[in-house]
Amino acid sequence: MGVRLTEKKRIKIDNGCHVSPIYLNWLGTGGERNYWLFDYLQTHNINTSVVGNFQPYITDNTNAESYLIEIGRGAFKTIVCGAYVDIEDVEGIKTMLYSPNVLLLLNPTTWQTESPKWLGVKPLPGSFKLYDTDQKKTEIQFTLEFPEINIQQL
Amino acid sequence: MFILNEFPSVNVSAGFESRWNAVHQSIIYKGTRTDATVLNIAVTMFGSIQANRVTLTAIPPSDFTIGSTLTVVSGGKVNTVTILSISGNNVFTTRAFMFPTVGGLANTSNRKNYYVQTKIWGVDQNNTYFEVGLMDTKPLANGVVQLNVNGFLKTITEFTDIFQYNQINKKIARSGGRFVIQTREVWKNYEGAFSAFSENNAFFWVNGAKQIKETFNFNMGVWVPFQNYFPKVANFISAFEKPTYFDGYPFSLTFIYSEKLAGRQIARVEDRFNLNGGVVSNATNNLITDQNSSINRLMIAGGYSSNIVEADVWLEDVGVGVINIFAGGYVAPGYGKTYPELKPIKL
Repeated sequence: MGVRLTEKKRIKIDNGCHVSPIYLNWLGTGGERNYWLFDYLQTHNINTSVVGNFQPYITDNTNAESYLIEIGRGAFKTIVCGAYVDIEDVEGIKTMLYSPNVLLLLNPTTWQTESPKWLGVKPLPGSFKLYDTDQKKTEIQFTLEFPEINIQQL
Repeated sequence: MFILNEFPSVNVSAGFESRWNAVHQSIIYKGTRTDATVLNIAVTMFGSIQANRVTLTAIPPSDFTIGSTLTVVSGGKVNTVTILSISGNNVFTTRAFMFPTVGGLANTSNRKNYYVQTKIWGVDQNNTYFEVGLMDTKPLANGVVQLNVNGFLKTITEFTDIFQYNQINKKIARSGGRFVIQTREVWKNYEGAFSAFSENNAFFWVNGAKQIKETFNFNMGVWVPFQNYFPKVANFISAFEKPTYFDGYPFSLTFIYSEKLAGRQIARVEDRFNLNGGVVSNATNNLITDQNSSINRLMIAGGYSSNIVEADVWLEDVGVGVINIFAGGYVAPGYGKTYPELKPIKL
């Protein structure tokens, strides 16, 4: 029997099956990594933007393709995630919303054989309601922004 | 002469010194420029004029010249005086001190553009020291020099996760670890030698930030484990009061594997509980001790049977361990050498 050096950290074990898992790993303010699994329902969105266009000089109107040629496009994907959790859990999850480094696990079924593959995602900033003090559980919802899609630009 | 007398550490309890600092906030050393040490100052006559006799502890350096000015700090006062005459350890100056005083220092204005240059060393993932940067700092009027090294150390932090989740614990050098500084004095036409590189003077940084009203200022003392500290204990660094382990997903706890635990065998101990709070099983597993002196990630056992709903995880000192220490020695500028691990001493 040794001498205890640290607190006894209580870990909750979740053995459940999770559909549509979004597993996030983020940097906390103490220099630590924190984790949470969001599952079941997410909404996938695509956001697009225009870069610019120009008018080509038309000599052959019959065979012209168009009067405005686009020089590029911008796009990025967002996923809206949510969870219904205990208040004590949302106190930890909220730190992800302001973390400067949030990573999404891309290979949840194979990370143990190949190494974990992480994608950097950005929680969109905003004002989030965490809970009312008379609740025991609460709903949290946020949007993750994915890295920009690389599109050809003239 | 430049001597450091305040260091970036906090006593979290009498006899327990935490040298771990949050790198996103000030990490301060303080020292005093002391060209000559004052024994005492008297008010006296010099010929027909009133003067001060500044008695030093030794013969003054050669750049204390007649007609030049001195900044003298003594008895809580800072005064600038002109040197009239020097005799042995005594320097006669124009009078600025009205009453006799004891102790203090005297700095000459002949050392033009005086500054203290600080060389900052960090340690990488292979236990190799590397130079982080050189910082130049001028003293205040009273000779006090305040060195804040956090700006340089911040440049070596990494925000991403490099852990492979394939060993029980691992140091992450770019998340937190040791640093060492050397200082030297520089003034016009003079560059002093750097102070000795000594690992006993190592301090530590963590890629974190303290919040307002938290204890111990910018020090990470709450998370630093010590020997012979029980029943006081260190905390794990976590945003969750009770983190959740999702079975089948990579998980770790973060802790400071402090330098105070060198030479000890540390183990991870777990108690596993069923729905009724009864202990289903427990396990003790040894940590890899050469990951010492850095912020560490700790994996938990995982693969729990379905009747286990919660687990307590903590670290214990289970006895004398192999001695894994950094090989010491001064590293010349531009020389990156990997210090080989000392052969462990089996006790």
